[in-house]
Amino acid sequence: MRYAVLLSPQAIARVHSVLADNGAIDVLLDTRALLAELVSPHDEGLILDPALLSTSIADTIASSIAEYPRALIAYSSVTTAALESAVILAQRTSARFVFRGTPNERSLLEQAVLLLPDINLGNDLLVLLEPNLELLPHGLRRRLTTMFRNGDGPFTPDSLAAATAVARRSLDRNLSAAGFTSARRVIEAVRVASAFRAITASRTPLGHVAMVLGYKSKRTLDTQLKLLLDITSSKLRTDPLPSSEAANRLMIQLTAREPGKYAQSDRMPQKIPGSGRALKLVVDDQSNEDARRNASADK
Amino acid sequence: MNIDAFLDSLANARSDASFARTAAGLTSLQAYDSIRANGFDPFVHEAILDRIALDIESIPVGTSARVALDSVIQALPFWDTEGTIRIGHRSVYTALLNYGQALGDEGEWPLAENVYARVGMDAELDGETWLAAEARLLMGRACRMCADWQTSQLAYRRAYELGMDAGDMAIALRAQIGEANNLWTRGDFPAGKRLLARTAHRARHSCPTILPRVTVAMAGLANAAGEYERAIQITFDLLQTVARDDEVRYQALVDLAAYLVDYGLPSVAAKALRLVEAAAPEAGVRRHAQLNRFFLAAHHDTEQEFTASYAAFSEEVLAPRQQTQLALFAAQGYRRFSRFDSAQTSAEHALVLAKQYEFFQLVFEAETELHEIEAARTVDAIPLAPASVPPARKRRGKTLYRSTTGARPSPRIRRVAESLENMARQLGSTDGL
Repeated sequence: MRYAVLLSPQAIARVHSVLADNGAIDVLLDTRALLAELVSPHDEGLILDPALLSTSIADTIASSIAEYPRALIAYSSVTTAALESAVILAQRTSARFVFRGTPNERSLLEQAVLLLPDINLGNDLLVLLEPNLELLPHGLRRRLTTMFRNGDGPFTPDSLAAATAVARRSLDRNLSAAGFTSARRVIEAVRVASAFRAITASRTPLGHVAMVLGYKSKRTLDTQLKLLLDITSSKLRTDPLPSSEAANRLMIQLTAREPGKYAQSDRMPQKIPGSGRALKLVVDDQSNEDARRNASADK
Repeated sequence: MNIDAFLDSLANARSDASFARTAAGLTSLQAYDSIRANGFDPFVHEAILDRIALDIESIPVGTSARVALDSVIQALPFWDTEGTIRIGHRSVYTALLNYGQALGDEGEWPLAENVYARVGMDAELDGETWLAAEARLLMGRACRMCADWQTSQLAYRRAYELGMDAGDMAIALRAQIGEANNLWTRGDFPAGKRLLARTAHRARHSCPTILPRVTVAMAGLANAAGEYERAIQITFDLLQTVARDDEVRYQALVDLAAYLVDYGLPSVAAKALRLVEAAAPEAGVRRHAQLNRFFLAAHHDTEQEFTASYAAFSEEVLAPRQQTQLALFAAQGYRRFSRFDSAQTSAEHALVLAKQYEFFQLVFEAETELHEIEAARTVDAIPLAPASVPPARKRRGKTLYRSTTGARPSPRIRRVAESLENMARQLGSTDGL
């Protein structure tokens, strides 16, 4: 994979060391070269330091990426100049952000650089999942949309709940009401989708892809791929699935439930009228139907 | 918010510089707390941030705490900014972690621990698992430096769990390395060794990038256990494999220099430090190596080399701790060469700086140095420092090394020394070393 970079020399050296033999970079010398690259894209990903961009350039980048979608990584230190441009990129693109200065910055950068999102897969998947996503509360919908677009998101249901400022039980309830199988399955799907391009379009060793994804070994990656895409990583590399097919398979695994089938009112324990503290247990739909039929027959 | 360490530091501050530095940090944390609870309100918070910016002006230029605090107050107004991610939260947490690291660099470990604990808790509540893991990892180290072993172990364990949750095996394994370091620092070598072996095994399978760090820790353990040759050999072998990873490469070279000094080969150690000084990409690392080499020159080199090393610092901008150390090492060197007046002036300068910035260990060392100078003046001409090592001689094209104890190093160590000399020579031919 090739990346166009507009960074300070030190940051370029860091990107070089992270990429090793798994990709090549084209160094952009100034914003003029960046604008030229935006108009006629040669590279698959852009790695930029927002501190080197003015807010108007950041605006231009956002508009250009809306027109010609491609992966964007913002890699900078925390300064006012960097944050002013970074905010524009965060609000108008699905860029991944890596801030400099933390001891494990390298592993975060490696994740961002090697796991470039597949824009087509993300878009196809979002189109297929639109009816389900529509049923989610605004914050959760926005978060999941970003996660499917750029592969950057929490790795556990608990942190997903915290990141969307809802309780864990509410998260599960919202997801199941929207027809998603489970929060865990959504997170795994995002992880697998984020590795799709690294598996199909790069020469990064599959074991390394598994490691960057946070899996223990390639075998664990294969298990997840088999579960969600019904294909192993080696097979996917030799015979890549079209992104539309991959999106379809992911959608089926993500939405084993019909949206709205488990509406909140059906799942909440209900008080039996006139019976004090006793609660009627929630039963499956068939039993609900039978109970309703019996009640009408009694009347 | 737990700010005990900050309040203690303010109560015990003995200089304006130290008070201003801690006060700016504390006010920044209070501003962060207020913004986190109520959101950023320009009418309320802008005045506070301006005030902090003024306080920061009084922190000496060149200190990392000044840069880090500056970045905290630049990030705070963006706290409520959201895009596809909570960019404001992430940037503030990162800036605070940088501030914690800056405090650590200056030896203010209790303050750093406070900052890390705060960031760890808040980031975890925000669902920023990766940053929370990072904060706990750093907290583990800060607690270890404060000899708070139990909290350190808890922090490392939490960092491990959060690292696994964040899908970042590197953090999880680094937390295990930290825990192993805790064990052997307290003298439990077998348990430390076992944990490191287990970590190495896992790293080999799931995260090879962390293997060099495990090796660095293993070498540290070997050195602490008195197996100097093994420590040198492990570190040297590591150097051959980490050509691309600058961070580990230069850390390994600095460690190797320390082990060579412990083994009794300061002249070879100086070569390793020279390599770092000439090629490390980070200015801080280069300066640190330069200071260490000056220490070796003060204790082992000739007077001419010592004077040349000292002169090299004339145009460097040093942090207060480094300035103090430089003055102290200079005093030690002058005393060794019987230049007692210069030694006295340098030691007194070190004492003033150490008192001003409250580096209590250095205050103690400077006072000891003054006593030593006084004693040396009265006895005069008695060599007080370790005997200097004769320069390595050449015989039939081979260099003959001799340790400070006079013993000849083993063939393995001689090979290490020769390789380092070759590396220095190669670098010298390209960089004018």
